[in-house]
Amino acid sequence: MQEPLRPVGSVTGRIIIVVLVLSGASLRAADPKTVVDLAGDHLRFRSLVGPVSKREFLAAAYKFLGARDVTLGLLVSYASQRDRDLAGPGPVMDHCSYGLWRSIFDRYRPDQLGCLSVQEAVKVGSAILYRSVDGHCRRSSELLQGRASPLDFVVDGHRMEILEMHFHRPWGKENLRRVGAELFVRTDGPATVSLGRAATARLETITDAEDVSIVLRSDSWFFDACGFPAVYPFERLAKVPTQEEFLGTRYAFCGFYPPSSIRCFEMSPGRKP
Amino acid sequence: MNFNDASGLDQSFVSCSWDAAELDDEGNVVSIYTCSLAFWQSGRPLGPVQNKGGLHTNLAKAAKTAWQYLNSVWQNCLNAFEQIKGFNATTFQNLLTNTPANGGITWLDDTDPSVANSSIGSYGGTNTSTNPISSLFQTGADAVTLPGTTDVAIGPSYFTNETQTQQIAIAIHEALHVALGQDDNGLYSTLSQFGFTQGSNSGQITDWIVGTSDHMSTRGGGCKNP
Repeated sequence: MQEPLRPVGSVTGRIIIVVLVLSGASLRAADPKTVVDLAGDHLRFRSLVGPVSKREFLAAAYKFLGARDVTLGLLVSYASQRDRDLAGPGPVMDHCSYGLWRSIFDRYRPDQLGCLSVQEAVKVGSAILYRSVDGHCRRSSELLQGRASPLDFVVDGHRMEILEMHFHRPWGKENLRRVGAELFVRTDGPATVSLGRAATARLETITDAEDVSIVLRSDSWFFDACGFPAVYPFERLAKVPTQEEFLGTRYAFCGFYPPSSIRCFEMSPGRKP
Repeated sequence: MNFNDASGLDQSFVSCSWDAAELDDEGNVVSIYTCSLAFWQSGRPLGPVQNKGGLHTNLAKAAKTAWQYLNSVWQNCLNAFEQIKGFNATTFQNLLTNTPANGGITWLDDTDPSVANSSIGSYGGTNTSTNPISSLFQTGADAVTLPGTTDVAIGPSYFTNETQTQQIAIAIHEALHVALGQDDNGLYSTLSQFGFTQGSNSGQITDWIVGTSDHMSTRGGGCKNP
């Protein structure tokens, strides 16, 4: 991992102060608000709301995700609360539906309001990817650590792409470190139990995390997955499907349950919200 | 009558047929009848409306009843839940039986205009959307859990489309979302280890908790596919 610059003993006191600010290991207290902060065995997630420069964000990302024992993590920063409400997880935990998604999605008017502004640092295994989109719809990505994007992998000859991830934990202080993650994965293969099982096994091997599950689709229509954003900021939705088109699709869900069990199911989105 | 909703709907038995025989506690053979029900309000039949649980169900009382069921007729459920990593029975009891100040769920009744018109973000969760709570029920959901909170919003369908037994099971269903931090897919998967068969909608979790095909009887033991 490429660490931020550190002050060295021979430089002057004035320069040391400057370098300490640039190293920005943590974001300034007056800056973005931390909305969610989860840390479990191998898993870390932090969500921020408020303007952050790329330099500050990268410094925070290295500190937050850089540790070797962190194998699945996400640091995300939304420039504003409006950005988070649209590009972050949905407003409810359950009973998400095409109708609810559409009611949020249709209120988003990028031509009037500009693009959503989001920065993410994503870590899977040892690789860290930075990606961003700004209010002018400029998208960028940059590999911070590792040899290849941690979001892409191949299973049984099929491309897998982690579009987004959502972290959660059970209620109660006794569960503070029992963090789990749900990954939303798009494949160029079929969204089947067998492919989902293989992808989950691969991710379990890469992350060594205990509670990881995936939602596998052959498209990006994760509309009834409450942890997936109503407006996915890193890719334009090529087509807004009708409800009938959406209900005609299928997805697979797989969860890893230690010590060695992966449970999967395959289904169509429900008609009942 | 809905014991929890004195002003709600009365159930009237329309017809009964012999269904089975079993032994009672003293070893006597008793007959089991299956009866069809109709629902009446203010002396006026509602026709073939099924699954009416009561228009004025007290949500907190339904949740307390849910905890009683988990310790009696639906003991199967609690036995299963206690095997789930991260599930804590005391926390779960608190969610269902305590006041919000003491770790209990806040039940937000969307049929109350002051709740329906309040913003989602006003309840302190991780989403600060200014959209009203009522917007969550435009597509007919019975209940939803607000992420990062112990707040559960209840929609109109809960009162009009579900039996009182289902209403009690919905309290358990939503408390599971809060307690385990899992969405519907997560619950499907977690509960499948106890025999839950995935269907096409999250209402099937509620029906699995009830465990009987009429969605009303509590004789099935709970937490089994109806």
